[in-house]
Order: sequence, then structure tokens, then C-alpha cells
Amino acid sequence: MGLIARELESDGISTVTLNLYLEIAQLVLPPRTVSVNFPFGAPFGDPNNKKLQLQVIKESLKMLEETEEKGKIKILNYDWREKIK
Amino acid sequence: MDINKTVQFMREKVDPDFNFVNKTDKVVPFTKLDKKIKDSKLVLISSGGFHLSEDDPFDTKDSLGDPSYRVIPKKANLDTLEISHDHYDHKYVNQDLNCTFPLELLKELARKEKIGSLADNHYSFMGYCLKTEKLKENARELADLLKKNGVETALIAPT
Repeated sequence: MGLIARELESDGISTVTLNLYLEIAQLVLPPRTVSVNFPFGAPFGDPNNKKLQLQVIKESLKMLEETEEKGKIKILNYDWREKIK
Repeated sequence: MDINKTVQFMREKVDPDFNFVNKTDKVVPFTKLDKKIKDSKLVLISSGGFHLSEDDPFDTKDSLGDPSYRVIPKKANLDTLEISHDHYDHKYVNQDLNCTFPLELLKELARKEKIGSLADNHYSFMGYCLKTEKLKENARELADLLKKNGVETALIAPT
């Protein structure tokens, strides 16, 4: 998805790309990456864990809004199935 | 995860010349967002292989992948979304689409005015695609379409 992000960004769209395989993001260098420590198939978090999923979305959108560093990779340290208060 | 093992696997199974795209020596394209998310129009793009039941499935037989994309309208009935993508376990997404394609959660954030607006159409590719030139061409086509529709920001998720 990093390649797609780069094309969109080149055309003037600001992107943030979630990542489940950090080494690939380090090679492809999407414009902005949020790396999560979740299994393949669930980049926003485990099923029916709405608070965690919303947290991942909000952190991603925050990065989209705030980051000025090209190719920055932000690592989110949420645990799989973490309960957000 | 050991990336060298992944490369070795791909070379043995699919393409003897396989390598991940390496952009580390190149410029990173960057469009600074000049407004707030609460004032911006957002699109969701997934690599989950999602498509409407009436649309063509992705080509899961081609060992080099399928570089095309499908449109998921904002108003689509998400309960009837289908998946054609064999490279990840569907057990999580079958329980809750928001694990992978959280359009419902984004709609909730838009209703709460945390996001300015959502695009009328959202998109899915099928991850795992070795036809990178065609994939980039399709992404450029999609970018033009998004811009024509006033989309300024994209949340992009792998599977």
C-alpha cells in the first residue's frame, strides 16, 4: 500500500498508511506510516474492540494533520486486544 | 519478521528475480495538509480485496497478483461486501469489518465532526501485487479521480 500512498501523495493528496510489516515500510517509505503490532488481517485492532480501533484511527489522522517529516514512521505500542479506558 | 526469508520464499515460489521495491535512495513525495482533519475530505483505501457482490472479484489465480481496484460507495450495504483475497486469514474481518475496513467508524467520526466529510466512494485493492508498474498507473488514475471529487486526505490500510 506504500506504493499507492506515494502515487496519491505525488498528486497532491495527503496520506497516512497503516503498516503490519515494519521492514517493508522502511524499504518502500510511504509519506507517513503508522506501524501497529497486530496480526495480518486486522490493522485497526481485534474484532469488536471499538475503542482500540477508534484510537488507531485517531492516532493515524493526528499524524496526517501534524507531521511535517517526510517518510516518518510512527510506532503505536498498543497490544492486540488491549482494552482502552 | 525476517524480510530475507520473505524474499527467499517469493523467489522460490513466484518470481526468481523478486525483490521488494526499495525507495530508500529516493525522495519521499509529501503533500503537507494545510488544514485540519475536521475540515478535510477523507477517503478510506484498503488492500483487503473487498468488492460489492455485483462487481467482478479480484483475480486470485494470477501468481503475480491483481493490480486493479474496486469502488465501495459510502452508501453501500457493508454487510454484503465480499472478499477475494487468499493471502490473509479472514477470521477477524468476518467477525468485524472495522478490523480492516472501518468505514462505519469513520462515518461516526464524521457525524461527530472530527472529520470534515467522507468521500462518496471508498476503494479496495487486493494486497500482494507484483505488477507494480500497473499498480502505480492505477493509483495515479485513482488519485486524479479523488482530486476531481475534492478528496484531500487518505487513510490507507494493509491486510
